[in-house]
Amino acid sequence: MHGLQPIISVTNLEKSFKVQKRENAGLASAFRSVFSREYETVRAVHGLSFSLRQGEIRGLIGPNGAGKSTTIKVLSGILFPSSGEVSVLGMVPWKNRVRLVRQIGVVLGQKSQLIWDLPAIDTFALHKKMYGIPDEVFQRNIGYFSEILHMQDHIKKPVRNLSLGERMKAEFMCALLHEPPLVFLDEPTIGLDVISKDAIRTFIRDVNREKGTTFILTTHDLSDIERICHNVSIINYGTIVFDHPLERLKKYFANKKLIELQFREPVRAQDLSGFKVQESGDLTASIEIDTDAHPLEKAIAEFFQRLPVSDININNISIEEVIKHIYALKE
Amino acid sequence: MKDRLFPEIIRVAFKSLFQYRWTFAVTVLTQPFVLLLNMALFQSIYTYNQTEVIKGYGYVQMVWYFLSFMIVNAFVWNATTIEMSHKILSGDLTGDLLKPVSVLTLELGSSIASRIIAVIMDFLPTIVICSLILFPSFLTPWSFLRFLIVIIPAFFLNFFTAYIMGMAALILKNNSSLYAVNNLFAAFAGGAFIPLEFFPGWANTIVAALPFKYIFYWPIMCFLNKAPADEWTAVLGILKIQLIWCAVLFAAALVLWKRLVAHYCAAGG
Amino acid sequence: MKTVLGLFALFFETSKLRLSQAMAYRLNFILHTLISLAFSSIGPVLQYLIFSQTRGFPGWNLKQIVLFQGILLLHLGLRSTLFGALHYELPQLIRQGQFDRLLLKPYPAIGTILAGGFDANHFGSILAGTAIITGSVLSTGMKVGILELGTFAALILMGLFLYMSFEILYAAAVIILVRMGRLYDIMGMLHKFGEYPLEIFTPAVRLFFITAAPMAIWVNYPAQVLLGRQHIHIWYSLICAVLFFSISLLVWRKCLGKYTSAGG
Repeated sequence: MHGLQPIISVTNLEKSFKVQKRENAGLASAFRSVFSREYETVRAVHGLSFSLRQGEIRGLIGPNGAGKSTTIKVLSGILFPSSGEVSVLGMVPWKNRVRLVRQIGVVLGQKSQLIWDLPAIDTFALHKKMYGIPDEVFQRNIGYFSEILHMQDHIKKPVRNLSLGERMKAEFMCALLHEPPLVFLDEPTIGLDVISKDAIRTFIRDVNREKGTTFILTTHDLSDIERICHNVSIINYGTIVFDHPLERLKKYFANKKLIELQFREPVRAQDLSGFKVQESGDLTASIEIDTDAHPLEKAIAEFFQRLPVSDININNISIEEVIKHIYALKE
Repeated sequence: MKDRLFPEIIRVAFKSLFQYRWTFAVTVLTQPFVLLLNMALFQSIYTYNQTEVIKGYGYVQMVWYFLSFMIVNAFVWNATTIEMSHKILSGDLTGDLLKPVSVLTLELGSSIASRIIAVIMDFLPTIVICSLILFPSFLTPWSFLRFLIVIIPAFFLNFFTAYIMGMAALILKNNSSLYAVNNLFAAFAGGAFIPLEFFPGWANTIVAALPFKYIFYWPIMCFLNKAPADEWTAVLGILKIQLIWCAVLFAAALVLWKRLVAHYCAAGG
Repeated sequence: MKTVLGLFALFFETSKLRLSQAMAYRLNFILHTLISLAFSSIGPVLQYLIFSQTRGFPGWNLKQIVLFQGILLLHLGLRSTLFGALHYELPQLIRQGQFDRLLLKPYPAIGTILAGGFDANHFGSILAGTAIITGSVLSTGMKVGILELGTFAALILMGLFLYMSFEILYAAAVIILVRMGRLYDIMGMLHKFGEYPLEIFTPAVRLFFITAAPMAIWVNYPAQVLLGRQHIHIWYSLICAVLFFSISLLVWRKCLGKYTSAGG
């Protein structure tokens, strides 16, 4: 399924904005700014490089303001970069915007492309004309998508009357009707309940498997990443700081384990001294172990010796902890 | 496939806008008041001055002049400038840029759709109601035909102007004052609010060199069947200049778009 | 009383914010001020042009009509500065269902609405109006004493008070007819009747603008006072204005009762 040729390649991408700066909130400061003002250059993306193979599902994560959305917008031809080389499906996005967007699908979690006052099916019909989708492909896709998303009735109701989850499903249908080989998803599950999230994740995986569609998605929801992504790129300070398969992220701290202990009787804080305690209560504690310094079997023996242990769990460091750690790394 | 796209854009825009049909119909409620106010005003002026004709306008033509702005707008108005600048500032232009169609085509489609509704919901009922209050005795089938001929290029002229101003939001960020300047020119230089005959000669020389006169004043003259727009030769002359302006503004719109779209920075994230 | 003071404080806070906002786009701010002046001038310019090129209308000569237009500009500038933002803020607020949030504020809803009306772009009209009034008073050599000035100022204030009553009615209509975005156009059209000398209307219409909708307070009476032509009608109109205000509040309460919030 995973082809070898890169579908996207980005080299040394830079994008900076000029932003106005004002010192104080007051009226006087606002008045002064009528006459003189200072500007600040914000480097949203700074020397970013990566590539994407056909058939991948790639997660793009990073803290707020890291440059994820800017990257997506440059890749889809909406923004012109300050410098750098980008090739998407063999095209330079900002030079061939109209030709490129015909072959990509985009879902922006915060912005709708459906016509608010009309049923989604009307937007679909417009898209059919816009993308030149043949009748049979259009009918087949509407049928297929609305069946797996359970949207048969909802696409005939005005969009303004849909719930957020139903609307997002309609957005997905809209973005995928013309069978694009490449789809960008910008926070596709934001604000959705667990069931809607699940439906959308299953949908992405099914489409990826059946049509070989390449997906690139940004998200703040780590379970999106764990459930659907093959590979993860972490962006921070406008550049890629981690670019590996999901497995590598899970085993990022392979030499660290988190041990959860339960005690038969209350344990005092000083009994735990000498261990790296993450959390502790009267009858519980989680302790991080560096297996290079303390081999696991020795550490466990020590727990049973020193403490009234009734139950023990040995875990990898959670993906959330790993990401927190990576986010906190300095530039 | 592409040749059937444009009608589809208009059709969808029409359906969407038609939800707001009562917003359109408001004109029907306001224009009779415009008529009544100007009837009172000019009745007293014509009587007090003991005259039938002021600056070439008879009483009925003069009163209807002040309705003509609405009549012309029903055919030529568009929300392009406001819509585009709103989209550019809020970052919603992103959605339009993701479509494999030029932004010009999308905006033109929605403008045409809105004018179809305005002609049905605003123009027709208002004309009927106002005719009952003060009958437009100046109107003939031929003068109305002349009006229809010049109003179509006037629509495109107005659209291209609005489109260029909408684009200006890419560099100006807030282009509402530019839009207001345009409206001001329409009001004064286009003769939308004040008959151009009341202005001194030098002002009329300037006004003749701007496109606004060809969007508002000449269509109004044709509608009122007032000299010199009551003859076909004059109308052909107007049409010629309208088409030249259209070509110039269309070319400018294409060139500017190519240069300015690089300035777009989608808000948020 | 405490509520009223609170509302004034709220008004000043909103105004300060709006002023800061307006000044953030400096070119726009300057242009807007000029443009708003130009737009307010359309009526006055038209009347002036008609007047200067014909014999004008009964009861007024050219210099007097210039004074009339100056007062009109001042009135338009003041009312747009105080209430100008309402006509686009309010329908937007209600369409997005945010009106509920306004009801959670510790003031009467209508007060909160009115306190948010400040629009920074109309100083031009106020300045131009004041300049024209001063100029024409000085050039005609009218005798304007403290009494006349005081009466003039009081009438201008009463005019704004009357305009506020119209805004209350507008707000009431907006919460009932959510979708009617252009309601303001209708009201604006009706107000135009108050921008011309009463003399152009037939006696019955004139009576209407003195009593039922006493828009004569806006420009006609202040002009007459400066010209030394006070009339007993002024008192009828002032009483009617107070009545009009009470009725507008009553209508507002009725409509607020019927309000149902948009969306779930």
